[in-house]
Amino acid sequence: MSENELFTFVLVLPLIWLVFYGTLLAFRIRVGEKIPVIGLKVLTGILFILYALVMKTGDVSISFPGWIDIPSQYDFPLEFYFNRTMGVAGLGMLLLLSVIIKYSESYLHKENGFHRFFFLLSVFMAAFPFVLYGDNIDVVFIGWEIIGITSVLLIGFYENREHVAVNSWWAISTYRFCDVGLLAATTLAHYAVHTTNIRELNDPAHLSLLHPEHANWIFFVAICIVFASLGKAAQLPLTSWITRAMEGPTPSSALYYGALSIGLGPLLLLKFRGLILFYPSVQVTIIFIGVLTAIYSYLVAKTRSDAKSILGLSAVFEISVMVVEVGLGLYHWVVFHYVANAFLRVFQFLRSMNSIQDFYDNPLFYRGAPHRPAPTILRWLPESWQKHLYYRAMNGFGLDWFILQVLVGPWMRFWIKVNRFENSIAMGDVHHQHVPAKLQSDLAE
Amino acid sequence: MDIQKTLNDLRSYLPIQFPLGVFIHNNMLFRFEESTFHDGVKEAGQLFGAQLSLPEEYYQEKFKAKRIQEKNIRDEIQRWMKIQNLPETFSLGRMEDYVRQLMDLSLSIPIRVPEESVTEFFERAQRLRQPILPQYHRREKEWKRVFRKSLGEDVNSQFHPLFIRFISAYIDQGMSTWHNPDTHRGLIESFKSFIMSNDTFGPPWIKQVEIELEKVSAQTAESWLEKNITHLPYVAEPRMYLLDTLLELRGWAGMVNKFETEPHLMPRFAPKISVSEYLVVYLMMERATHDAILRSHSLEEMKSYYQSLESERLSASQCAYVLKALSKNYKLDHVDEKTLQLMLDVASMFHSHERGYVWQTALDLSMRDECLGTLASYRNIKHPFKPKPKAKFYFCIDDREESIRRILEESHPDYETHGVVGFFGIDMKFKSVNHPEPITQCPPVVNPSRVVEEIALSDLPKEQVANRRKWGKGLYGIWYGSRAAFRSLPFTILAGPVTSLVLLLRVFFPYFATRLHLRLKNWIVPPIKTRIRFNKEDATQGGYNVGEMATIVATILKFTGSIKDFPELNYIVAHGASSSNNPYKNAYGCGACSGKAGIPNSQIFCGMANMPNVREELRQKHNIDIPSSSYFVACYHDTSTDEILFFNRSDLPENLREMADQGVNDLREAGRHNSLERCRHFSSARDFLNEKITFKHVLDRGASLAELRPEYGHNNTAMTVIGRRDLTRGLYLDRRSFLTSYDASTDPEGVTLAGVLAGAVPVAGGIALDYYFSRIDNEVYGSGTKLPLNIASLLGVMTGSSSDLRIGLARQMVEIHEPVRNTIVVEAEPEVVERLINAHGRMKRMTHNEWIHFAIIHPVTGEMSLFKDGGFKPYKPLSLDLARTISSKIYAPHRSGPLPFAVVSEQRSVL
Repeated sequence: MSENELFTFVLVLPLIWLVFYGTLLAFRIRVGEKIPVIGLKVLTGILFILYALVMKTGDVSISFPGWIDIPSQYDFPLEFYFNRTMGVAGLGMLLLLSVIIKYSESYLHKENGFHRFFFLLSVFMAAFPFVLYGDNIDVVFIGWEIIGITSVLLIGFYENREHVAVNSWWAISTYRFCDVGLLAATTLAHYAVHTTNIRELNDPAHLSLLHPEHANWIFFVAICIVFASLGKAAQLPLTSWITRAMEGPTPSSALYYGALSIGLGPLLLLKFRGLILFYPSVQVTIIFIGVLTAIYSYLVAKTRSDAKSILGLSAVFEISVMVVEVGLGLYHWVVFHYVANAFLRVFQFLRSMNSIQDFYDNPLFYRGAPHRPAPTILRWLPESWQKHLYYRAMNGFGLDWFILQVLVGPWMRFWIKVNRFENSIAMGDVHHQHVPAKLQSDLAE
Repeated sequence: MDIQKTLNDLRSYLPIQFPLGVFIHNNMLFRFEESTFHDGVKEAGQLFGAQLSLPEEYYQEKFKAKRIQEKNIRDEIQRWMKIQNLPETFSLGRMEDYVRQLMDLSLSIPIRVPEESVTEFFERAQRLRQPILPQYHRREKEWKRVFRKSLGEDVNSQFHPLFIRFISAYIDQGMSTWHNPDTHRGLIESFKSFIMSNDTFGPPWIKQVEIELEKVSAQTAESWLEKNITHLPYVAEPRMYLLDTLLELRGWAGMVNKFETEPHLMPRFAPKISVSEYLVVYLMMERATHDAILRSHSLEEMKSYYQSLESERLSASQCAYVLKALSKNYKLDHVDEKTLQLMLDVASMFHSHERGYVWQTALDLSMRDECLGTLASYRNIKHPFKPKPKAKFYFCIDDREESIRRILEESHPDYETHGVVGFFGIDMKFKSVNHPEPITQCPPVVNPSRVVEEIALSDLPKEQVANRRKWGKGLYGIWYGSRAAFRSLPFTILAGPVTSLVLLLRVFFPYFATRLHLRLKNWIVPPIKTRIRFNKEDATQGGYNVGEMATIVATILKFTGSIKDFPELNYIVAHGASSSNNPYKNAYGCGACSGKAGIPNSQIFCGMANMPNVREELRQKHNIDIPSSSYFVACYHDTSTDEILFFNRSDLPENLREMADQGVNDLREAGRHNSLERCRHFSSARDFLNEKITFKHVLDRGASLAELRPEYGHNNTAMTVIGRRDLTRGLYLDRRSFLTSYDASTDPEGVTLAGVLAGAVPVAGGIALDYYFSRIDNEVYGSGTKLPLNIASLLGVMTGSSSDLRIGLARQMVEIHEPVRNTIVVEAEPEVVERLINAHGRMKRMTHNEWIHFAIIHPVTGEMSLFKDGGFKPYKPLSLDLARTISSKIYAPHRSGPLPFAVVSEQRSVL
């Protein structure tokens, strides 16, 4: 087989499995717990072999005919591009997935929603390569969007609890808010430079020569991409949803918020590195955001006292360092960091329920208040300032309230007013009777 | 109002659960034991908003499987009818039959909740703008419900996350890297700092709290409560409102209560905190949130809510539905209206909660009757010739040891097993070499009298001591250093690739990985040879003198009635459980050792019993003559992995060592068969062919990170037998019975029995009730599903990142449990037992109020009596035709669900 065919299989096999499994579930064919587990295991096995073969050849680029094709005017091709850097990230994902599948096999055993979980996992598995290897923004957007949806559905896995619903709303709102960035980038790129191909976009100098009339627009594409990456990577000012995301089963929290989904932010930036780093102002912006988020998550994580929040914020800390690394142009380093962090966090998440034992078994677990004062780098501050900082960090520096009052509040109030206005036009009177009189008399009989 | 007194009363409604690290099973409705079981359960159910039973389908299936007897259902219906004052008959026949048919129909009619005060409430709200709280009947505060339903504002979700974060960080035992700097100054002071620091970018209500807090500073929390409680909105009855407030987050409130009342039991330290401070902080935040919401809404908006309130009576369509369902069984054509009305009324009175409770109690009574019937029927089967035992095994009374004991006796008829409380009478705290703090190794009801220390046999080389410190420090370093610290950056880069390997091993080869980890640890920190200094003469800390040792040994031996004819080897088998990634580890341990493994206890007991001067003392003072050829062997059984450990081989004389090895090997063999029997409950391992495979499987189970069910613990526990082993030897009891050895013939006055009862009854009863309630309503009394749990403050678990601290057992721990009260069966004279029950406060309460069933088998005549209405009444047990099987190795494996008790005929040939 040629490397193109091999690479096609890498992309298509998870889709085939997804369709097969989805059909079984859609037609309510009774499937035991064994089928998804074995299916996914076989799938990851085959994918490992395929990856090994594709990795040997290195760069592969394929393009399927697009879904819209206006002859001699425009087309939207499905383009994919494989290189070794992204391949490493893909292999890391595969390795983690195989661990998560094995883990979830017994972890979700007998659980209500076993198939829902494995279906969402399959969706994730099929969508992830779209983001990793997609070679134009349209393709990346597909994967990006689907991963966001699976993420939210897994946060809301126990949908019968009220606060779970609230928290998954936080996540999906953040995602959608930032997806606007990717969508806008696509539109802008289509309009301004007539291509969304990432490799072409990564050469803005060349593009501005081709389209001198829209040269300034490319800058906005870069801005949009950076904006899009903020939500998933939980960068400031959209960090506070991450602790709210710990409502799902542990393996999904591990996979998404310890490792893969949260790491998509820096990966997206990495894909567009040529474009982003072309503009020093954008470069400075992402370094700035990364550093701020790192400091933020560093402080907030230190004041949290539950296992999963600490881990989630620690992952954000690593991710924001990765964002800085992208800004500094350390590309290969980012991928290595990404994979290393993913393994470590997944491991920590998966054994987070052991923390009580970990502490009790420690030969130095003495009685007495834990001596954990402010971190060393803050000790030069006067004590009252340290305290002040501690309590600020505990409140997450008011980020939740900031978002609610400054962003969400006015937005909601605006739409409520619009709604009232619309009602008053349609109904004539706001204080109308809800139930028509005739219906009422009918009911009375 | 005397706030201190009120609070002390309210405290008792809070969960009694300790931090998970020192978790102990107990009746979680401890507060309600003053009432009878039925009243207590209902009262608690109303207070906490809990279910009284599982869904009806569960019981209907049990009924089909003949686990519920028709007679018990009828009895329960009679009881219900008496409470409801229903007539015996009505024009279509007997009322009882009619009610019984309603149970099969399972009509879903809404339960009537007294709502009459709601409209009243609204009227007052309009008039006063400061409405009064209507009568309390639900877990949620009424005004919060109104806000949620009419304004769409969930009050709790607006301040609970912050409040939980604050409390959790304050009582944290070492989880956060940066600890709250104000724990010595009190909760309110800390809260004040919190509010002052967040005056900008804080919650919208922060200013209000700031003003309020200035008022508090001049007074104590109690006086603030006293002055302000009546000024809070909606407070009609301050006591109820305070109780409501405590129950909002009862897990956290309960933990705060424990911190205040029993600070010495907390894992590390107890910060300055009290329930009243907790209340002040909560009420302030709640009040401020309330005001902030009202500022942005008008009371007009609440109107629609009351308009939408529907009448709770049966609607016409519901009536039609009921009548249609009934018409299948009754000819309703010529029935007068009054009878119809009565039938409809009864149908709506007998709603799903009531029906469920009737089902539940019927299940409970059926199990009781089955237990008693089995014992009575089995007693009638003749005893065969019993050889003189070659060896005796002393196990814990735990129901999980029932199977291994049975299997051991089955394959070796010349072995005899006994059940004694698993701390073997040694009331100590144990200070291990490997742990810096002494750990309680006796039941929670016993006060540890001394600290017994384990010491290294030889002085450790300096570098080894240093290595141990380094190991501990390294673990801490990795913990804190890998979580949002700047050193975590190089750590991630370096450790990431290594963890990938560890992760793969841990997940794919759990048992192998834990062995490897142990190897690594032993390589860095080599294990040391140790000795336990329990003898007072050479003890560094606490120790026992010869007299005390003899008393301990004598008591245990007297419990079992084995005071003569000692075989050469007596095995003392302690137990514990290994599991990984399991915050509930303590719940699986030995209950008599406060959830720890009983390893030191069995070692110390054997050490004592093997000492020549203790034996001399035994001979003189206690009239027990242990021949010098007899020895006690210390063993340990892991109930999760079914591994057996053997400790004091080197202390035995050389000629006995091989024999002891033989016995331990037999024990190991029994352990492997035990794993086969246990695997029948694990649906992934039910079909595993033989004991070799299942043994490997349970080893992995105990070590796996992903395993939520390392074992099923006390699931299905139903009975406690206190009597001679002959009562139950050769009886397949399905791991459902605590087995305590006691021989009434050696103890006519009941001196020994007092100790046996006090040790076994509250523990077994408490375990059964803990499982009962966690199973019945897993969301209220249990901690829900284990999957999204999250450890908070090293104290307990939350669901997700900001929920109440969960109490009770997780769903996966109780999912196959048949919720029944424990049936205690004692083989002794009724008068003696009754006297002993009444002398023991807790046992008296539990027995008189029927939180346990208490029955007696007369040791001579075999007549049974059951405790009812304040005394023992004669009881006629069911005469059961017990199932028979050649061997429990054939009977049990591969079958799911609870099995009927059976006679293993190898043990007693029927004549």
